Amino acid sequence: MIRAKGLRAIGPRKGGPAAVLSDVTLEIEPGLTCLLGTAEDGGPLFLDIAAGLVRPSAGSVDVLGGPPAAARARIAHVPHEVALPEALTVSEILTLGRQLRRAPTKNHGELLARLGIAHLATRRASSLARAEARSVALAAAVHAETEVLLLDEPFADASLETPARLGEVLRERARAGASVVVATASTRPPLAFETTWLLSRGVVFSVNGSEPIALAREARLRVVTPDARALSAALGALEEDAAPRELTIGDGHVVLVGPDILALARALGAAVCSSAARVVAVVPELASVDGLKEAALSQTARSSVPPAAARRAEVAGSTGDPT
Amino acid sequence: MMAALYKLPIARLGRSWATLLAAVAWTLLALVPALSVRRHQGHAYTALSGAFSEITLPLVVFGLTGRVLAGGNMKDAIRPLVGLGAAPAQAAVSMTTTAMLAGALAGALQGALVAAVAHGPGDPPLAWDVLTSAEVGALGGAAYAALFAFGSTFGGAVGRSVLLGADWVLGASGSGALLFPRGHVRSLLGGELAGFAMSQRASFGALMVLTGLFGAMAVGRTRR
Repeated sequence: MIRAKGLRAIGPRKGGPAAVLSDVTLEIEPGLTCLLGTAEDGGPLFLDIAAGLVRPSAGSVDVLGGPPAAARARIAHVPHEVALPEALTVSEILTLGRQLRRAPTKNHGELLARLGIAHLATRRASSLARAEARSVALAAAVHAETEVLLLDEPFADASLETPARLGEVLRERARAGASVVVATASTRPPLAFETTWLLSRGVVFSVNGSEPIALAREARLRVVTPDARALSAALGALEEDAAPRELTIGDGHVVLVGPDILALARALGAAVCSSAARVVAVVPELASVDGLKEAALSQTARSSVPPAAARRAEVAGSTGDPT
Repeated sequence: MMAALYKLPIARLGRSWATLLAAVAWTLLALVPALSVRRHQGHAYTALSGAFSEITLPLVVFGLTGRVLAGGNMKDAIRPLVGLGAAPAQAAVSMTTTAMLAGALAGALQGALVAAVAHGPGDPPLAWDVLTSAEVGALGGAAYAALFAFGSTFGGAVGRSVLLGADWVLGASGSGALLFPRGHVRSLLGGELAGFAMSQRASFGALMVLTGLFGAMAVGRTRR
C-alpha cells in the first residue's frame, strides 16, 4: 500500500529543530500501523510526503502503486494543525469530503454520534474549538472511506471518551482493508497496532513484538515514603492479581511496576490502608519515547540484523535497518 | 466533483454579512459622482471612466477576492479543500473563477447603475449605454479579480495590495498601462489609454488576454 525507499527529507523549522527523514525504507500494508516518535523524529513529515504535500529530497514513495499525488483522492490525511472549510457546517464538510472523492453520498449521522460529536453537525467550522475541529477532521477522514488514512496524533486534544471511540472506528476501517497509519509520540496510544515503526531522528526501526514496545506497555509508580519497609510488606501481602508485578525498595521510596497505572494506584491505596504507612508523594513514570529509542538502538546493535546495519549502528550510534 | 469545489468559495462570499454590506457601501459610493454628473447634465462616461473605473471597481473586486480567499493567500485558501481530497490546481481554479465571477457580477451591476444614474441628454440611448457599461464593468471586474488572485499566490493580502498599487501607479500611463486593467477599462468606458493610440476593440482584446493570463498564473503557481 505504501512503499518508501531511501527516503530523505527535511521538514520546516517551526521554532525548534527541523524534522528529518534519513534513508527511510519501509513498507506499510493494510491494517493498523504506528509511526512512533516525536514530530522532530519525522513521523508527521513522513505522513506529509505520503499525502503528496511535501516532496522528498531523495528516494521515492509509492502510495497505492503510484506517486502520492496520483492517489490523492484515495488518501485521507489529518495533520496536527487541521484546516477545515471555515464557512461550511460540519455536516456539509463530511458530505463534501465524499463528493470531492467521487464517492456516493452516505449518511454520517451515526458516525458523528459514535464519535460523540453529533451535536456539532450544524455548527460552522469557524465556530469550532481546536479539539472539536480535530474531531471533525478525523470524522471526515473516516467518513470518506479512503484506502489510506494518514493521521498525526489523532488522540491528542481528545476528551476522555473519544480515544476509545475513535480507536474502534479506526479498527473497523483497518478490518475493511484500509491502511491506517498513525504518527504519535505517545508510548501508550489507546489502540493495538499490528505494526509499529520507531522513528529516531529520521531513522526508522521496526520494533514489532520486541523489547521496546514491551517496555512501553509497563507503568511505574514511585512512592516517596518514610515507611518504605512497612509499605512494601503490605504490597507484598496483596493477592497475586492485585499486587504489582515488581517491587523495588529504595532509600525512602518504593517503586511499583505493573502493566497498568490504575491497577498500581489501586494496589497502593489498599497497601496504604492496611499498613497505615505515611506517603509523601506519588510520581507516575510512563515509558518515554526517548527511553524507547535508547532501548531500540541498543537492541539493534545487539540483535541479528544484517551485519552491515549493525556496523552502521555501532559507528553512527543512531542508525538501523527497517527489516 | 467540480461543482462541489465551488461550495466553499461561494459559502465564503454568500454567508458573510460583511461582504454584502461592503458591496452595498461601494455601490453607493460609486453613485455619488454619478449623481453629480446627472445634476450638471454631463456625460455618463465622465462618471464611468473616472471614479467608477479607477476607484470603486478595483476596490470592490479587491474586497470580494479577499473574501473568496478567506483574507489570506491562495495556498491557505485552498488548504481545506486539498485536505478533503481535492487536487490543488482544481481547488485554485475554483477559487480564482469564483472571484472572477463575483468581480464580473459586481462590476456589471455597478457599471449599469452608474450608467443609468449618470445618463445625460447627450449620451447614447439609455439601454445601450447601460448594457455596454455592464459588459465593460463585468470584464473589468473579472480582470481585476484574476490580477488579485495572482497577487494572492505570493503574499496574501500584501500581494493583492502590491498589485492594486501597481495598477494605480503603472496602469495610468506609459507601457505599464498595457499590462494592468486600469487603462483598458478606462479606455472602454470612454476615456483614453494614456500614451497609446489603442482602439476600444484592442483594449477589449487586451483585457481578455490579461484576465486569462493572470488567472492562469494564479492557478499555475498553486499546482502543488
